Amino acid sequence: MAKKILAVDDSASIRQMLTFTLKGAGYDVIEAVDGQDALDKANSHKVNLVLTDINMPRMDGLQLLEMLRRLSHYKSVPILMLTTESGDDMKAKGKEAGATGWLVKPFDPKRLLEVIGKVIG
Amino acid sequence: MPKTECNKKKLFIALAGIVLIFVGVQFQWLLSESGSVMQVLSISSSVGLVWTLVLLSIIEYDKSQEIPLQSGMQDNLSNEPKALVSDSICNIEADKYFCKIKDDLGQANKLVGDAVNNLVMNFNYISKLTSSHHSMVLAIEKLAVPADNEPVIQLLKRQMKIAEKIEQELSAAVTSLQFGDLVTQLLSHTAHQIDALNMSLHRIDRQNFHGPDGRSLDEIRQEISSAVVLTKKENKNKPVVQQGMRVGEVDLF
Repeated sequence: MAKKILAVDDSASIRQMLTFTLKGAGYDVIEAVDGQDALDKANSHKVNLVLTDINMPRMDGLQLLEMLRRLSHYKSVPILMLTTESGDDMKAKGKEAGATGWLVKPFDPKRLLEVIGKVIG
Repeated sequence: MPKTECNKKKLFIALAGIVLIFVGVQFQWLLSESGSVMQVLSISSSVGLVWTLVLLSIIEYDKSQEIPLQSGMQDNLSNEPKALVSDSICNIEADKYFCKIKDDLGQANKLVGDAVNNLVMNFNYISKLTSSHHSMVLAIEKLAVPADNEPVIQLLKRQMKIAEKIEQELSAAVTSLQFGDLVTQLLSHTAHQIDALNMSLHRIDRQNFHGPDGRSLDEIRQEISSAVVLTKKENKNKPVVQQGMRVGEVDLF
């Protein structure tokens, strides 16, 4: 059974690129347009990994991360931040909130798949 | 005449008028049986009317005295209102200017968005074609191609290489096509900066409006510089620092 990845980004083109890359590698992809949408979908699906942007309307990626870590099922689910932000203070915030890793955009599909393979096996 | 004294006088006249009308009506009631009701009513009404007219004349006279006084104030401070008027015109122009910049940014964002949508559609189409081409080459390969048919084998090998190359290019396109997101975030950030700068300029303008006296050009220049510094500080978290489309770094915690 294919592993499920929740891809969260308010940019349609980024979601399409993520879906293209991940589906091409055999993963099931659930798309979410912002943190709130992702939280709703995370509650209704059991996902194996969350890949989220930070700057989004309604609920940003860091808030989503904090909310997910409060849910029992998502305490140990890898959550990767995929963002344009590359400042050390932001990374520190992400790490403190429980992020598994930090990927700066633009992502390279091959490298992304390597990282995902590493964190979910 | 001092204003409070004038008000007292008006109040007195008004009260006197009301009292007189009231007294007249009382007389009307007392004398109603003597048959001179109409006479008393007429007298009391006339007196009340006269008092009311007097009161109105006094009020109008006071008003006419106040108008020149106000115009005098305007004349004395003519430089200040003129400056404020020109400031407010300046603000309207500044608002229009900032709105124009934001419109331009919006237009750029829309153009980029449209371009990205078209490119993504092309990308999806090419990726589907590539996928079916790849499948076709594999299918032909699986067909019993005679081992000694070297030209066909070479052709298939070349086809496989082309398919691999297209896949590599598609992978590179996945990275390149993320420019839309970066540009959109930068434009949004710039629009916020423009808003913040416009607000700072409004704040400076308001301070000058309420200020006790005119500020020197240097002081205003310094205020604008401080506003720019403040705006920069408030917007220091620039969401996009990338200068090109080089692949971003990866950190696993």
